[in-house]
Amino acid sequence: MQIFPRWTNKLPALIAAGVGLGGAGAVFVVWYYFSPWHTDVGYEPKQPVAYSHKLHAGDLGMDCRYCHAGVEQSHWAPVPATQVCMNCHGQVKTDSPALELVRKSWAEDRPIEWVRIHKTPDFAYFNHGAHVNAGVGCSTCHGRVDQMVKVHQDQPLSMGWCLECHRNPLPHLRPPEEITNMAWQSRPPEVAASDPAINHNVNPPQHCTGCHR
Amino acid sequence: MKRVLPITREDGPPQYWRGPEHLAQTPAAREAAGREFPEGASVLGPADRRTFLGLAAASAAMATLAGCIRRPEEKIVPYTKSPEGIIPGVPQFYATAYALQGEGHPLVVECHEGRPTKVEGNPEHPSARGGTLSWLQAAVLDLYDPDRAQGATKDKQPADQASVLAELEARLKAAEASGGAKLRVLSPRTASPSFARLKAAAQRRFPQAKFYEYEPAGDAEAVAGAELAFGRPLRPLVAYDRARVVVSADSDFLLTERGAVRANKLFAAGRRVRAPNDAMSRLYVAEPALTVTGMTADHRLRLPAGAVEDFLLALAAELGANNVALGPLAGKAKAAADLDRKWVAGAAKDLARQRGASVVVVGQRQPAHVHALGYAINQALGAFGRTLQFLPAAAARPLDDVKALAGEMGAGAVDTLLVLGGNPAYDAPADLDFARAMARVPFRLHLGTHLDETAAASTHTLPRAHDFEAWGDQAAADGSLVVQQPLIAPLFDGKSDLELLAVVAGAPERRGYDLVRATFKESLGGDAGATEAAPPAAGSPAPAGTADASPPAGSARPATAAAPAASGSAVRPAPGAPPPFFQATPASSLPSPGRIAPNPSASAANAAIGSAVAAAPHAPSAMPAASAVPTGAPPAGAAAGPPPATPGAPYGAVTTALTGFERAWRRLLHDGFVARGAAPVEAPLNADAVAGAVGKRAGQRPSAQALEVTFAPDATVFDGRFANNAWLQELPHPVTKITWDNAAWLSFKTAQELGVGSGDVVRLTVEGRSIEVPAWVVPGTADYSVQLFLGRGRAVSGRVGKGQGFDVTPLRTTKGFGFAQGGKLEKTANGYGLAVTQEHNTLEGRPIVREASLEAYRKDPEFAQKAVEHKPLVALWQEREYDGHKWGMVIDLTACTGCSTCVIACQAENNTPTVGKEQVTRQREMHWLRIDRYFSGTVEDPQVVRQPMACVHCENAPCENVCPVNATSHSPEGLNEMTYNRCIGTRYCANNCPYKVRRFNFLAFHEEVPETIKMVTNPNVSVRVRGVMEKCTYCVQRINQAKISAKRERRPLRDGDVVSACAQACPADAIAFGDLNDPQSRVARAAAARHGYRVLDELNTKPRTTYLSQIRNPNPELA
Repeated sequence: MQIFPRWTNKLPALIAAGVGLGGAGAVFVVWYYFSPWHTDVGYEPKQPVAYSHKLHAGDLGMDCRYCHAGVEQSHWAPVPATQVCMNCHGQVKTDSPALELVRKSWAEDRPIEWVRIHKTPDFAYFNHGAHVNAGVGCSTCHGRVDQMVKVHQDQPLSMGWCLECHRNPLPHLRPPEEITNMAWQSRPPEVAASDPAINHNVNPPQHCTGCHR
Repeated sequence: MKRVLPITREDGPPQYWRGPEHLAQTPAAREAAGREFPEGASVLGPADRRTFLGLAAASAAMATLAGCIRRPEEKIVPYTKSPEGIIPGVPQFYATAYALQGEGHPLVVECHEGRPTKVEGNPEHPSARGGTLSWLQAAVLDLYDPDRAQGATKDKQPADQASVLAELEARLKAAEASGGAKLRVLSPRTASPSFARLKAAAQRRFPQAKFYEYEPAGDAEAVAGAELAFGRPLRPLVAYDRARVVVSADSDFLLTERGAVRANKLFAAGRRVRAPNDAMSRLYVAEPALTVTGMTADHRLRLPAGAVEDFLLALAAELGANNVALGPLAGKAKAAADLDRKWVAGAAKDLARQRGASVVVVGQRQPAHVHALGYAINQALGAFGRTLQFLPAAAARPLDDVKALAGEMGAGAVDTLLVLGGNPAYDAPADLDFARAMARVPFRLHLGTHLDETAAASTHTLPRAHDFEAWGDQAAADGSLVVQQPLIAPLFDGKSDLELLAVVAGAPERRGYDLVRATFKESLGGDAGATEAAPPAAGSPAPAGTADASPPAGSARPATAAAPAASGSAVRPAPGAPPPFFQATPASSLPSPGRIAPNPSASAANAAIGSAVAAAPHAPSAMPAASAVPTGAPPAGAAAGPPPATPGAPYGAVTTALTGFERAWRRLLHDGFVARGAAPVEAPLNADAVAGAVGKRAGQRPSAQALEVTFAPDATVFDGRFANNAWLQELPHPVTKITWDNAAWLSFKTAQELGVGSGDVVRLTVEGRSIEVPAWVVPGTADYSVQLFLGRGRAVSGRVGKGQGFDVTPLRTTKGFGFAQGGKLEKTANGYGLAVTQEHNTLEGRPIVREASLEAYRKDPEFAQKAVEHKPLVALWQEREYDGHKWGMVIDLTACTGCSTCVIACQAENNTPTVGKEQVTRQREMHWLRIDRYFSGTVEDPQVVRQPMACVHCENAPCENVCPVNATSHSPEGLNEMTYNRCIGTRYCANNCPYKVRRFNFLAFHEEVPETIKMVTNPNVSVRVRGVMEKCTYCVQRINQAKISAKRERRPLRDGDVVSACAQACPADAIAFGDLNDPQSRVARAAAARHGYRVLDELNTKPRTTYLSQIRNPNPELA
């Protein structure tokens, strides 16, 4: 008497295929869904003030550094003080309901609590000044902020992503005067390599204490 | 089982040992030496099974929860109004000062968004030249002490500050009628011009009132001695760099005495040996117990403090024999039979031989007439004007003031007492019973940083502002005036001494800023200094010259702020002026009369400032004021109210437009000092008066039945003002390596005769007063002399200092203030466990310290490299080439005094936690940098070598090979890097480190830190969690910052751009740091010295830290 019906002969192959497919699926799930490309990119929290980067940086063409002044010196790109908003909005749109919180902040001397979008871990000491001065433009990491009504995270900001550029920085660099140019297109490697404004002994660290200390 | 190596070597001439057990090779010491971690180091603290399970469950639950949440929402809280000159994330540096023993230490303090985090010396100040001391480094922790007085009290109840002040004002008003006959003000000794001005004003308002001064440790006796010798109060100023022979009679001039930073700089300059032909001074020290100075001595004599006068007379007698004209002193000079005649004669001969280039220094605790005797000997030696000068000083009445005050209070002659700072109820002489006398005063107000013993004895208290919170001014060691600028608004609403004194004086200005400004307006001559050159210093070339440098700085400020700015570090000492590691002797260390000390580095540093000055961190307008509530985000509304002087205009623009006083004032705030102090004076010495005063108490010697008890400020907590400072409490004492406690030091002979051992609690009785204190047998202590340390055993202090250690003040009386005679010591049945790091991390007798006499060094400059014979070294792996930067360090063991300033500087810079006494006994202390102290020679008269030891950054690092997760790796510049987020805590690396410099976070030492203390953390360094290994990084955050700044300016790194925290803090310039690949760098030149060696080089670890052997300069005649 046959205990196992005939079709069971296919079982080992099926199991092997299933394990193979399942394994590949699991790898894919972890690779895709656990990666910052999925977990972090696209993070778009609601901000206390409906500030539109598209309007200010895009349509009005304001330079990034009007508000984020000090980005060349500091390790981070300072978020503007209420005072900076009021430089204009003391005269422009003085009674817009969207700016209620800004006016309140100014009148009561209480800061606006923005929600942080871009964040590297506490043990990674990213330095804005170093990157901006080396010729890494705003849009390289932050994307087309000039087209974002609401800002979201454009790049994963993961260590692998950082190292990609640190290992081969040239394609990601631009001349210093183009730093805030949102529409910048990277130059072909041979052009970039021969342009002294781009290729000026940029030597990004790839060892641990370059960023972790 | 690890092989236990023999602790001592039979072949090397000097045998080094750390403590008596080590020397005696007890089995316990041998066992301990073979272990990396002591028994029980890995045991969890006192937690029972239930607690442990609870904690484990809770942490598991939290870990799950944290894993589920995509990301915690974080807030960015910007300013509402940007304070002028602050770019969030860019630290600022302000020149300020901190007063200790009435000496203003010129400092530059680093500030992150209005939060002071790190103290450095002011590199431009001519005498301090960037040097600091451990207390100054730790002062910033005191600022955030959560146990500071946080408001006014009345009758022990919290009260409104305004109402207490109103009550005081009403009382003062009422006292006006009697001219303040019953008003008394007690303050610490201070050299503040504003204080003097306000005191004079208060005296005018209350002609009958009395203003007293009291300081538990200071140079009052030295000034009083000068008054005796010269007929006027003067303060000695020794040019150690010019002295070829220095004899210290019980003086610890290198650490605990006034002017220590200056003394260190100059003394080290006179002993810096780089080549065989370099000259080196010789130091003789006669003292009762080892001090930092005594450890540095070439010849040391154990001498009871009470015999110092006899010693000086014997020295004078020997000088007479060497044809030194003694004048009237000749009649008094005589040898004492019991003193080491050969030693004294040798010292005297040396002094006489180097006439004009020798000096005798007398310790601060010696009475005035002994100081006078010292001055007379110096005059006979021709030291005046050469190695010794005198600055005018305020009259000092060492103990008369406090005696008079206690008497008046006891007699009911005082109805209003104001104590401006200090803690006399704790540290005043015990026989005055100050607290009880105070109780008879109806209104007694204490202005104090803490609710301490004096606050407990007061009816009213007011919180005193920390020096970094208040405006003030001080005089530095060389007499120059330094301004004390606040870095933060008072955290606990404190008032400064000046502000309270202004209330007493009824001055029109009440704010510290106005008071100090008014003083300088007076002293800088107001508008009289309107001419270009005059303002800062009446003819001083330096500040005027630098003032000219500021207009380009200001005008260079572009509207877009896109200019290359030097990281905003306006006076960051690093790019300023590297200390003269190589310069032999500065041209002039003493300001000669009528000449101003030059300030050559100022303009250079100013140039380095570049347009970064646009940030104007030194203008008063940038005075930051953080909100009192500490938050991680920049405090809301952190902009200080607009200052009176600068209505928000940019610094540069204002400066160019300014003239006269305003310009000088700005220059002063920027530089932090006026290089014009009191000029040295020449006064004739009244030798007859000195001869008449000395020799009255000759021949007093202690015995086992009548011991001598000596008092000294502690090298860690000083006189008690730092008792609540955990950094200083945990700092191992430079000599004994005891942490968190003090002990009574005894010599071996004394201990043996009295049947006492280290750790026994003894009862010490002097004139009917007694204390109990643990005994500690310390090599080099004079027989029958018991050394006690002030500052601990505080009955009323904060959570750190309360009850920590033993109070010795009950034995300290007006008669025996510096030292007392006739003490009795009995052993009690008790023992006391001390946390001593002496035996921690021993290196098992390997030849890691190397030394030679100057003579031997000259014969064979490469002796150090020959100390170890080994076969040619072959690496297992292909060795790396370092063609970029190659960071390295050089530590000069000859210059190092063991003062431990670097240990605190490292702790402050690198967020190193303190662990507490119990954890120290388990060898869990976290200091990245330790100072090993080795004795050699006999137990009673040892020689000492101190060796700062931190990670030496091996090129072939043994730790890197054993890490299973690659958490410790090598950078292309040769740093042995530690990546905390990778570390899983196997501790293999620590086990494999032959230098024992890795520290493991056994517990979460940062977790239970009070909120305010968190404000002291350096934002550029990770705060490590439990379970990770850490160690010295060569201050990699500073390297990175310097590289980023240099890149921004499109220039190569320059020598001096990167200075590690330890090198920067060292008052003796014993540490050099920099790029070994730059042949011109200070570090590369020092590393090339022929007496340099690398520790355990025979293991082929290729350390990057080079040590320069200890060179001693013994007198051949005394060999």
